[in-house]
Amino acid sequence: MNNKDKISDTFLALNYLNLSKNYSATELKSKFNINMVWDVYSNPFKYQNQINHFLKNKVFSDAYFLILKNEGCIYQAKLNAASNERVFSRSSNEFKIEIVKSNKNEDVYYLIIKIINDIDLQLSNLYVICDNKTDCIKLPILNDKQAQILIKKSDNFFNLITNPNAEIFIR
Amino acid sequence: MKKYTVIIPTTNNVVGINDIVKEDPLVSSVICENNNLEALPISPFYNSFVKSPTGIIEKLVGHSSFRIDITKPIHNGKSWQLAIAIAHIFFKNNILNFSNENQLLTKKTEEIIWASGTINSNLEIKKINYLDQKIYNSINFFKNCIQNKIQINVILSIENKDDFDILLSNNEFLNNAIKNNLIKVLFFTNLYGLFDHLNLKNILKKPIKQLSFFQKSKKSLSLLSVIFVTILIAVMFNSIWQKTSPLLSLNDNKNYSLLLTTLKTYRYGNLTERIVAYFYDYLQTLQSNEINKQIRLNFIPYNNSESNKLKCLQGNQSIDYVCDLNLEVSNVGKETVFLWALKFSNLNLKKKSFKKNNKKSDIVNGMIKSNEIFLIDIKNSYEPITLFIVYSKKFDIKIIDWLKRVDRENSLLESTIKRIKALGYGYTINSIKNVKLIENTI
Repeated sequence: MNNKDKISDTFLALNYLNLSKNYSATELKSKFNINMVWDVYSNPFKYQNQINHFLKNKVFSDAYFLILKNEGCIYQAKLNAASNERVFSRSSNEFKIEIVKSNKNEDVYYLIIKIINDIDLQLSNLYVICDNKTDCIKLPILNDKQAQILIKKSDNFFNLITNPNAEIFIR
Repeated sequence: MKKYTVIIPTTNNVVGINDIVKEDPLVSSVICENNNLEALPISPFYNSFVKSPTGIIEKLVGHSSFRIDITKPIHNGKSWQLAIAIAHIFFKNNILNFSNENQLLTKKTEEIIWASGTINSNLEIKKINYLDQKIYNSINFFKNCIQNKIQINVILSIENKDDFDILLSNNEFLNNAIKNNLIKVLFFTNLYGLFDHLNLKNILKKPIKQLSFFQKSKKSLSLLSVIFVTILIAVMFNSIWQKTSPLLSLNDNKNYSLLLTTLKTYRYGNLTERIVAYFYDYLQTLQSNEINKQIRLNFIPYNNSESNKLKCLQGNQSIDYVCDLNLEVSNVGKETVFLWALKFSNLNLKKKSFKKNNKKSDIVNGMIKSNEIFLIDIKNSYEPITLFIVYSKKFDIKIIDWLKRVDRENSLLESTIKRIKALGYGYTINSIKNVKLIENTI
């Protein structure tokens, strides 16, 4: 690591100083610190298999999503009013989500993500947060600003993403 | 109806089709392996192959979104297109027999379609690469089919025929199987040819171009348009003739004043009258030019006195004032030409009016036959003069009167020229100036 990177990291650390105050001694024992959160944010592919495990830690997920919001992501907030318990279509100015049932298998749904505007960010994961529960799914390569993922109705991810109170991040 | 099992050969595996399901049109078509949740990497290409306007499957079967499950993964390439297209058409017509995850051949399998090729939007089957690997990978599968007495149809593009012939020369099993009709190898240029061969013409019909109303009635419309144009031209011609014939009869009757008045009216009249006036003028100009071309003028200076003879030699552009002039008018045409020549002074009318009062007009009139010459003696004059000569193929007594009027009133020259042009007569005007020439002798 050269000096420039060290200085850059120092400034970032100072930026997130307030955040680090939330860490208690017990959480430090679980090997999470601001460097770790930043590393997960910076290298999503490296931690692809562990990210869901990390997100189970509330402090980690709070820090992680704060970094995501600050550093840039596309986002959908909770729905103000939903007529159903489950929502299969939702949209923001940045992207649309459609969840379509498969005709082959009743337990399988297609999650269709359509990005509305051109975005410079590298979009690799879709994160859902709802009632202190989080889940993450890897995005396939966007084709014509559209991605499609097969999801199971029985999965936690399905329950979260169809919940009107879910917040969705793509980054 | 006989059911077919479709096989997709790849460079690694022999792949069967597990299932085809119509999905919601919102969904992009996907290819998965054995009912798994993960879409194979070729799914975006499969989606493009299905969805119109880029794809052909939607055009062939009328639906834009499918999930297709295959027995082994396909990671790249496009040679799956031919087998997948055939499978979709068979599926739509309920003659596709699906393979199982671990068993390409089932009890229901009657006949195999082993196909490898790409297809373009015109349903033309195009060449594929790695044919040798695909065939060698399939040899055990072929043997299994033969054991189970299942007919094998190997479907390839006609462009792969040479490659296959080379393969055949090195493979005894294939040679024998083909000779014994256990494997049929079929080469096609397009998908229609394949379905024609399988007696499934009714499943995939070659589109017949639907002619629009205008295309259908092209012949009758062209005939109608010809008739319409002919009638239009006839009406126009009739209208022009109605206007032209009075002019011609006036010309024949030598009623020139009325003819010129009518022409003048036409020039400021409606479109037909303007066209008539334009054509009449054009024809008369042609006639006038033709007469002018028949006539050659040659001015010959001379002097009878010995002292001045040398001064009046022919060939100089300027002629000494002491010279007399002869004008040689020759007719180089085939027809006889009548001419009327008027010589008048260029001096101011006021000055010469008192002189002209009692003087006879200086007009010469004559006839020149073909290839003959008419000589006019232009007596020496110290005044600048103008020679106005009118030519006609027929004798017209009125021309003398017009020239006389010009002689009396030179300002009538312009209107007389217009009149002569309008009647199709030729004319020439030559000015002979009397000038003093100062030469620098040093």
